[in-house]
Amino acid sequence: MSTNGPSYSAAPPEIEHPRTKLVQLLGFLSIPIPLLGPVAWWMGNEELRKRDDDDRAQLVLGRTIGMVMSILLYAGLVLLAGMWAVAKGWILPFSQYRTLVEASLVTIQILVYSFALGIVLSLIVGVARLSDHRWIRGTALVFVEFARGISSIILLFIMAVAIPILLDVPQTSKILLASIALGINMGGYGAEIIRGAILSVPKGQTEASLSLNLTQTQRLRHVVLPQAMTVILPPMGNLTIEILKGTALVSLVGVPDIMQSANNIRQEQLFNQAGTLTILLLNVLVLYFILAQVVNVLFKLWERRVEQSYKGGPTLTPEQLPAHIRSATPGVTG
Amino acid sequence: MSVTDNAAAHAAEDLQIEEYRPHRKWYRRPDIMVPVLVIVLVYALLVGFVESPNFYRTKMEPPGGLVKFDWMWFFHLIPLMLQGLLVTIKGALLGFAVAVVLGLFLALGRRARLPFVSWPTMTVIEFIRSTPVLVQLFFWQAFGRLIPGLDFSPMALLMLGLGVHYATYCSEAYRAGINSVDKGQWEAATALNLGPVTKWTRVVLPQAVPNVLPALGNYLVAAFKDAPLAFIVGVHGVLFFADQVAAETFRVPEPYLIVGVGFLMASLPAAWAVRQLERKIAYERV
Repeated sequence: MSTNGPSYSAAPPEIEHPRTKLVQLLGFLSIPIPLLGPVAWWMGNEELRKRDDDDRAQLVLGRTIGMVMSILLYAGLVLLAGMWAVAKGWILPFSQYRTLVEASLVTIQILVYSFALGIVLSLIVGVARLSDHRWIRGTALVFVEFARGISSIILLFIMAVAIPILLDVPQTSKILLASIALGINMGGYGAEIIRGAILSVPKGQTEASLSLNLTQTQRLRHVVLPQAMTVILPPMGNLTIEILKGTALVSLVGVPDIMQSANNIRQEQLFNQAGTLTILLLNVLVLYFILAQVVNVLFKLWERRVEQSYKGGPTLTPEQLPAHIRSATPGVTG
Repeated sequence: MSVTDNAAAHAAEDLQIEEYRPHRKWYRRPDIMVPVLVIVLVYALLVGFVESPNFYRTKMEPPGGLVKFDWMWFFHLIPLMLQGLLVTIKGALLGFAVAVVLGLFLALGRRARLPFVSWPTMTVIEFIRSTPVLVQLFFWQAFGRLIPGLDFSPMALLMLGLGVHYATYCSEAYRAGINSVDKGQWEAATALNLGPVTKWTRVVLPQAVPNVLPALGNYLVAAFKDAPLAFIVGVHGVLFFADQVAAETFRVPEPYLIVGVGFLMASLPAAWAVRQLERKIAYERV
């Protein structure tokens, strides 16, 4: 891109920066020596970021070769690590995986119960925190401060150990009691999320629904909450993952979840004199990680659905409109 | 900034004040130094002088089995519970000290332009963030036993487990803080030809860290809520106290409820202080 002289009179001058040659050399050398790939990739990126001259194509070539080689290198390393893991016995026997997966069903069950309770509590309390009545607001505030201030594990112990004795609840409903404890904890945090989201909806929406003579419930259900959803969902996903992490605590009060079955597997390992605790716990960590990623993906899908419902479609002609809408809107039928 | 400075300078001329110093060094400002000193003192007292008691013995006979809840016994347990609470607070503070330092390095590693540094860091952060701290504590314990010569004390395990777990949270906070530094500041640092170390320590971090202080405070409170968990690796905190008393006296409801009450008494003021800090910083930024 030489702008100095008329471009048709002479060929553009050859710009050969020494770094360009180096990047290209590193790129080609990374084919026999893959360790140089990352270096070529990084250096090429740096040069492309810094300079803007005629040897971009050569830089991109060198960088691309480096990139491909480093991806191959990375894949090879991962493969090697996997083979090493198998050889070292990092993978548990199949029967133990089955035990863990079966136990994770209990974890998921607790998660679902406490999520349901948490959502209901956070909706009620979150709306109550914005109530016009002072007493309702005060009660909601006390609940939120209690649920957020007390540690989930202490609440769990109070719920699962102290409450059954005080109130004569049968000990068999440990799962339910543990879910209530986690649900209360989630309700406290969720209420703040929902309160913030309701406050983030523009005030004009409330005023418009007042002028349309909607009742308070209708306003909340059809106007405010649907618009608050985009604000609610991302932190709610994080909160759900926190609750999933919290479910690991229920093994301490004797619920047969993943950690409890890991303890059982450990007894089996000690009995058979095979396997180590570190590997077992690493596998348990990976299992929790996978569960958390599943929750994460579910919330991402939900977010996308909500976002798309706000996008709106193309403007339709009266012929393209569905029949039932046409009959409902007299002006369109013509 | 310059407008107010000019105004202040004019005011100083009008009032004929001899010496006018618009910018005092941070260590000469009482509004910064008093809280810092108080925090450091409390921190040192808690970390240095709190020792975990080896057992919890009560001087009072527990009431008989037919009584469901005995208020005298409940109040009698308060001093023992406070001992356990202090140990738990100490553990949370030590763990969070690890987290604050480690989190900064994780944040820097995640920002690295070299993808072979930033991707693994991101994976590790994501992995540690989404797995329970209970399993991580057990893991560190097993890991410590695996390596001969490495003998973690329970408190060290708590520090490690809590520190690594919350370092990932802190790194997210730091990242947000670093991203919130105005782009012009980076450009100015480049224009002044500052080296990378000077740029980070003198330009970016001093502007990023005050913005993340409320988030860090929130994570400290969260770490405090996870700290009683460490009774599973043998830290003699609040839950250890409750377990011990319940096992010795066969009275279950009172110790657990007093732990709940004591915990609220500690965590609610902490959360309130963090909210005040948040409000103050939000006010100063406007």
